[in-house]
Amino acid sequence: MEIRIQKEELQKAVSRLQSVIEKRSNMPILSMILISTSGSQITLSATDLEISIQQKLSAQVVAPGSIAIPGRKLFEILKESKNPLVQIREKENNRIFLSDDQAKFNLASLSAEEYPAFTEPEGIDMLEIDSAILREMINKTIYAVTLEEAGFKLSGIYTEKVTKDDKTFLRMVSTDGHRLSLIDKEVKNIDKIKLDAGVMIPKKGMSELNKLAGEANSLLIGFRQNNCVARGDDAVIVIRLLETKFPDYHAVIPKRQKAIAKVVRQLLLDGMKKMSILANDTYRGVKFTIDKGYIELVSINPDLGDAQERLEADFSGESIEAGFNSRYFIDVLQSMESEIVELGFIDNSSPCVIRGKDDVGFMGLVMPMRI
Amino acid sequence: MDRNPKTRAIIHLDMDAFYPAVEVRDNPELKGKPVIVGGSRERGVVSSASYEARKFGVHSAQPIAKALHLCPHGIFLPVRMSRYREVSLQVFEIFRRFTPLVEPLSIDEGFLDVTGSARLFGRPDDIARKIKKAVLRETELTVSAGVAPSKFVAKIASDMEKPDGLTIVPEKRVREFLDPLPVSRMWGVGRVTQEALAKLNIRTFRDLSRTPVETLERRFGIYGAKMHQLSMGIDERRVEPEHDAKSIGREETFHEDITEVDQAKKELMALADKIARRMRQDRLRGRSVTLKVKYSDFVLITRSATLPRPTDDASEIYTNVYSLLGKTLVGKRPVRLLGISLSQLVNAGMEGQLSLFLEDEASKKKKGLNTALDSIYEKFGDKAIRPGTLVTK
Repeated sequence: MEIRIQKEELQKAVSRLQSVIEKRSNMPILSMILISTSGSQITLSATDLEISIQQKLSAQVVAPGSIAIPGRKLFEILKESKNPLVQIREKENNRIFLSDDQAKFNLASLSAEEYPAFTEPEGIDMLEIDSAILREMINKTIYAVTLEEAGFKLSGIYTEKVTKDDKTFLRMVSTDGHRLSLIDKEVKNIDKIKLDAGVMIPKKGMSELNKLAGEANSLLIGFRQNNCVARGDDAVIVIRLLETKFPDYHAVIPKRQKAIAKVVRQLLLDGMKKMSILANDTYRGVKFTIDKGYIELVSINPDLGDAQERLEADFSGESIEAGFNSRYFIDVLQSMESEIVELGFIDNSSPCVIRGKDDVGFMGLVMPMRI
Repeated sequence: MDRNPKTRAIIHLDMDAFYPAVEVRDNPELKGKPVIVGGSRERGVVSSASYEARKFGVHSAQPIAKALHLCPHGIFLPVRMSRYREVSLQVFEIFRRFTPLVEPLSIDEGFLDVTGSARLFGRPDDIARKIKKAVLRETELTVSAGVAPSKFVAKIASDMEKPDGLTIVPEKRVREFLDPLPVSRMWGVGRVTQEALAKLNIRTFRDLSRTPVETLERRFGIYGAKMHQLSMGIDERRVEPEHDAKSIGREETFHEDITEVDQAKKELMALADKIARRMRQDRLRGRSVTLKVKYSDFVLITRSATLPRPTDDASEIYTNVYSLLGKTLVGKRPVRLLGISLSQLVNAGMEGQLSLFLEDEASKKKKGLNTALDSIYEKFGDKAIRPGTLVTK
């Protein structure tokens, strides 16, 4: 196999594939990128066995074939090289010759035949989804996905179809057990995809989908067996779905709130950021006192000191006091767009519901802390 | 390279009869009287006794009933843990004025490394004197000190002239100091080891240091080599300040080897209880549980498990230790020591964070139970409330 290719384009594709490549795999082949020719194009493939990604690029194919090439090394070489063209040629004994007309590399590699076959499920019903919608949905849920250390098995975003008032929506829900984010969006022709039961898409897969959506105006998405397939302009991603069950989240969404406070989102966000300056591993709570016309934030840390800020708010009703983890509020408010946010309260042991007029279909829940 | 480029200066400080001393200080009328601090009259044990009470043969871990018999005019007081902890904080505060390298061993004793404090505070023995003076002036309590080049020798030294003692062992006098001591002074040498050593005609540190290390290793394994080193005063353990704690553990060496699994389970349950309480006091949770078993022939094994989430709950710790027990020969081989430790510690900073889902309801209840238990321990002492299996008649 031998190809000549624009360095810039190859570098962009390789850097995209980097995030999928296993960093500490005990299978050396998974640290490789597979390059295969087909006509006047090449396909780059990377996989960690959970997520597979294929990217097509145009190139000058001198001799057809396939090679496996160390992904990290390829990336570093391309990063340092200043020349516009790169030549890659297969040599004997699993060596790959690579040159940018200045430096010459002979890279130790493995046989391309060892590379796990990329099986793109065929005959799937695909739905075209606007990238902007998909990205909004992911960005407004992904931060609440459990970090793996927490021990829960909620390390993905639950995705399903829901019908409300005779309309069908695509829904994504994420939670770490202490907070929950949910977003419903109308997607044209949603009935084209089968998604009756709801699926768990792993966090890493979601962030790859998000990147893919950033490169194209729309994506084609489909589900089959245990896979989610997404197709962009020149790339395909196959994500293995998680088999874990998602908890019954309907039960934790309050049916109605007792009191609603309206506050300028940016003011509350800035206030929470200030309060969080005094947070550490031991103390993360911020006390909210909400009364007629204001929200008062207080953060007390016996080791570091205390802080207080009063924000103007539209509120009438009985005053409420509740404590919250500042990080959780910052995450939600940062992902939102509305100028004004509505905070719905019941009492200091029920979730606070956060919504905004311009964040259509979105709802954030944050459970209080006892402080 | 020189292994010991500079002689270290370690001070071991041990408060004298700490609990009774605090009681006497808070109530001067008790001065000079036999004061005994402990659990209830019917079932409790002595936590600590004043020197006046010790003259009657009262000592810690003795059943209160027995102490009552030995010292009928003694003044029996309940354990006021929170008060002792308060005073303890004050005392350690004084220690920390002389060096940041303070390693608390318990509520009333600790190691200080004052190697680097000489320029500021003078020679190690002067520092020890200054600390003793400051503790007496500020808390009206006495503390015994041992000054030596290693932790091991410093700890033995502090015990030599109790109460209100000060024993200084310069590096060149370490062997001279240790040689005549009976082996029972060595940490970890209980009755069983003493007897085993006696069979080899080893009764003093001198005997031990002159026995070929191979002989000791053959009989006691790694611990044999350790004893040999200690007998010569070689102990390179550093003073580890508390915030460096990587694990929290408790262990128990038994007077009689344990041969029954049921007995081992009881001991482990008690250990799990102690650790869990300590973790909650320090607002820590651990994710990795390790079971340590030393068989009667001194072979030491450890078995570990990683939990799905960090815990500070005794029953959760015990459940995991229980399944680790299956990977040992406990019940088949006699056991002389059992220990549990928790590592991969995390700060319990999320304390108070409520959960959205009901699955956590059970652990919430446990948390409530543990908080209730802690306040009972606080008020009534360690033995006030225990799992049913641990209650002995």
